[in-house]
Amino acid sequence: MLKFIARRVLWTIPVLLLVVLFTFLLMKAIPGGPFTGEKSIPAEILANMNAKYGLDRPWYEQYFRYVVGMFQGDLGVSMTQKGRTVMDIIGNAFPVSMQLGFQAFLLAVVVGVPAGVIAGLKHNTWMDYGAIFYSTVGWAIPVFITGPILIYIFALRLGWFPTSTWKSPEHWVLPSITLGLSLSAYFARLTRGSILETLQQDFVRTAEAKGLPRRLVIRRHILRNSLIPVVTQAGPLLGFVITGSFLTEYIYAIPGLGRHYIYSVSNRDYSVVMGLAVLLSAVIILANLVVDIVYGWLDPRIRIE
Amino acid sequence: MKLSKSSPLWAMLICILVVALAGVVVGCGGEETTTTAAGGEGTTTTAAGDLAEDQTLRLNVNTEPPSIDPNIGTDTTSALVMNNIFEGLVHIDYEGNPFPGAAEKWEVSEDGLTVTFTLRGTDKWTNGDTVTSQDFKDSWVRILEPATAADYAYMLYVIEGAEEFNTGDGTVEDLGIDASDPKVLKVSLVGKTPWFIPMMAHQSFFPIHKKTVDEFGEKWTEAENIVTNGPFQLVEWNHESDMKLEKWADHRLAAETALNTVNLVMINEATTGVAAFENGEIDIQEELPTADMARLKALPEYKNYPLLGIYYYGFNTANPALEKAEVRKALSMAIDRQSIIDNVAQADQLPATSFTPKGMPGWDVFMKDALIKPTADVEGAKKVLADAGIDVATLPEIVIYYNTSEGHQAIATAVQEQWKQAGFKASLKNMEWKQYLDFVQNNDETMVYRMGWVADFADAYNFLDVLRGGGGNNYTRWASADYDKGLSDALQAADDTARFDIYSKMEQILEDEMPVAPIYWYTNPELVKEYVEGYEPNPLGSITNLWTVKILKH
Repeated sequence: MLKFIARRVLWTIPVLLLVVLFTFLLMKAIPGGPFTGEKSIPAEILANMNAKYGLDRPWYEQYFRYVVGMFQGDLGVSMTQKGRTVMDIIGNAFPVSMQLGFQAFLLAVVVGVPAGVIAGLKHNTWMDYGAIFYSTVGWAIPVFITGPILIYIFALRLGWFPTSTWKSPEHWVLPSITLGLSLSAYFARLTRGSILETLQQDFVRTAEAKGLPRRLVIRRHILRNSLIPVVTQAGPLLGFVITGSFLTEYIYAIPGLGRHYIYSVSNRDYSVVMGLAVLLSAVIILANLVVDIVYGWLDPRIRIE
Repeated sequence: MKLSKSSPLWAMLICILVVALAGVVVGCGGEETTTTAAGGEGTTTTAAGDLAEDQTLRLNVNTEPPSIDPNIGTDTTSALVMNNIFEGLVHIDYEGNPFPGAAEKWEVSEDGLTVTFTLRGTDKWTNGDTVTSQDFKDSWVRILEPATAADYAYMLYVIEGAEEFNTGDGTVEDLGIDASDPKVLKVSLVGKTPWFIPMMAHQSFFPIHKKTVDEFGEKWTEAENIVTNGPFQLVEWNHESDMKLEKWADHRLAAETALNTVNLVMINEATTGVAAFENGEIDIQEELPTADMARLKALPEYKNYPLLGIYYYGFNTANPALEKAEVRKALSMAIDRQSIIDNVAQADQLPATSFTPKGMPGWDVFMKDALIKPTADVEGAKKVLADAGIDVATLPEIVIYYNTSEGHQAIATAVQEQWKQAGFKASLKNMEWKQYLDFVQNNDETMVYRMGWVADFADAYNFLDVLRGGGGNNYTRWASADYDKGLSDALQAADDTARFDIYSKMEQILEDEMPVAPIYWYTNPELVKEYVEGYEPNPLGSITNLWTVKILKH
C-alpha cells in the first residue's frame, strides 16, 4: 500500500511538469501580455517591466526557471497584483474555496446519496418520481439562477441571511446551498442509476434466494456495490469544487480561488495562471489517490497490492 | 488512474473554459466607472446632534485594489484608497481648483517654469516622523527609476530631466527636484504647465516613507507595515474581501473628519452589490447593472454625478475604407447619440458633441457651439458623401471592433443599425480585452474601434493629447501637423484665453478630419443611502475625499 502511494506521488512530478509546460505554452500563444494596457506605455518602460519579471528571456529559460522555483515551493510573484506572491494569493483564497467546496459537497452527499438510494429502491413509486424531479430540476438550473433567487427570497424578502461576502457562519449558508444543490442533484441521479443496476445483479438475487433479510441485502450487497461508481465520480468532483467555484463565488462576492482562474487569464498574469494550474492538478491527483484507497475499503476485490 | 494521468488535459480544458468565461463575465475593461469624490470645500455644516452615533461608512469598491503603492497603482479603486490614506501637496475641489494639502502654499515663477511648494513642517507620518520635501522627492525619484517600471512615470515627464532619467539616458542628479530644505520643494518644469498644481492631487505625486519601503520591499503596503500621512490609516486588509480604514487622530484634518471607520467591501457583481445595498449591508454602491437601471433610477438613493470622460469610436484612417475624411464624417453624422443613451446605455450620459467633455475648465468658452449633433443627420451624411462623389454602395463593409462585453455589444449593434440607415454596410467583431488592445494598437486591419478616456487631470490638454500623431493612445493612425502644433503651442500659451483659443481650433480640426466619432460623455451613477452626507464624487476619475462624509441619524 505504502509502495503504491509512494509510486503515485512520484508520478505527480512528470505530470506537473507537463501541466506547467502546456499552460505556459497556451498562455504565450494568446495575444497581449500582462502589461498590455489601454494607455499604452513607452517602449523603454515596457522593456523595464519585462526585464523585472524575466519576460525578456527566451521562453525555455522562463520555463526552466519556473520549474526550478516550483520545486523549491516558490511559484513566483503576481505580475498584475503588485507585491503579492502567488503563494500569498493561493494561501488567502484556497482555504475559503476549500471550505465552501467541502460544505457544498457535504450537503450534496447527505441529501443526494440518500435521495438516490431511496429512489432506486422504491423504483417507480412517488418517491422515485419525486427524486427524479428534484435531480432534473436541481441539475438543470444553473448556479447563476439559483444564486440570485436564493438571495432574493432568503436575504431580501425574509431577511434570514445576508446577501453576500464570507464573514461569518451566517454568510456561509446561501452559497453552500447554491453550490450544493446542483451537486446533490447529480449525486441523486448517479446513485439511483447505480442502485437500479445493482438490483439486477445475480448476487442480489442469490442473497435474496438464500433468505437473507431485505435489510441486510441492501446494506451488505446493494449499497456497497452501488457506491463504487459514485465514489469514482465523487473524488475528482470534490477536487474541482474545493479549488474554486467561479460563479458561486462571483455571485456571493466570496474571496475564493474562482475569480483568479478568470482574472489571471484575462490579465495575462502568467505566474498566477501557472500556479493555479499546478494547484488544480495536484488536488485532482490527490483526490484520485484517495478514491483508489476508498475502492479497496468498499470492495476487497480491487484492493491494491 | 485514467483521470490523474490525463490531468494536464483537465487543466487545459479549464484554461479554455476560463478564457470563454472571461469574455462573459469580466466587464468592460477600460470603462472606469469607479468613483471619485468631494473636495474639502462647500460641505454643508451639520449640527452634531444630527449625526449618527456610529460614524462608519460602508462602501463597495467592487474589486481588490491592485496596488496602493502611490508609485505603482493606476486604477480608480486603488486611487480611492490612496487618496484617503496619503496626502499630496494639494487637494482639488469639485471644479478642479487646488487648495492646500501637505503644502501650505506654493509659488509659480514668472515664466511658469519653476514651482516652489512650502510644507508646514508640522505634518506627521503615522509613525511619528515629520513629512518633509525629501519624502516627495523620494517618491518622485522612485516612480521614475527604470527599475520600478511604473505605468504612470510619464505623468512626471513635465519635470526637467524626468523623461531622460526614466528612459535610462539621464541621472538622478539632473532631475529638476530640489529638496535641500526639508520645508521647501522646488520643481523645475520643461514647459509652462498650467495644470501642474492641480495635478499634484494625483496619487503619482504623493509622498512615500522611504524607510518603510526599503525595509519591507513590495510588502510595505500591507496593513501591518504601511506608514502613511493622510486623514485615514489602513488598519486591516483582507485581500479580495475587504479593507478597513480608520480616522487617524493625529492628522491635521482629524478635527473636521466625522467618519471614524470606513469599511471597503469588494462585491464585484453589480446585481449582488445592489442587493447588499437594498438589504442595508452597504451604504454606497458604485456600479449599477444596466438591466435594472429603469427601476434603480426611480429610487430616492439614485444619484448621478458628472464624470470627465468620453466613450468614443475611433477610425483607423490608414484603412483604405476609412481614409477619406468625408466617409468618417458621414459615419459620425449617422450616429444617433441621444438614442444610444436613452435606449442602450441608460445612465443619463450626455451626447458627446466634442472630444473634450463638457465640464472641463474653459469648455464653455472654447466650445461655444456644439460641433457634433446629438441626434442623427442621415440626410446630411448622404449629402457629405454625394458632394465628395462617393457612392456609399461601393464602400466595403465597415467592421466595428469592440472588447467582449454586453454593454459594448449593445452600443455597437445600435450604431450598426444607424449606419445601415445611411446606406453603409456594417458588421461587428468582438475580442477579449487584452487581445483587443493588441489588435487595435498593432493590426492595420482595424477599422472602427471603441475606446474610452477618463481625465487624469482637469485640462482639455489631457484629452486632446490622446490624438497626438503617433501618440501611445492614438490608435487611429491619424496625424495632423496643425493639430500637434496646437499641443505644443498650448504649453507656451500666455494665459487661459490664449490656450482655450488653441483648444477651440484643435476641436475644429477634429471635426473637419473626424479621426474619432465621440459617442457620449460618461456620468457616474451610484446608489447612496440618504443618511450619507457630504459625499460628492469629483468629476476627475481618481479622487474621492472621504473626510468630508458624515453619517446622519437614521
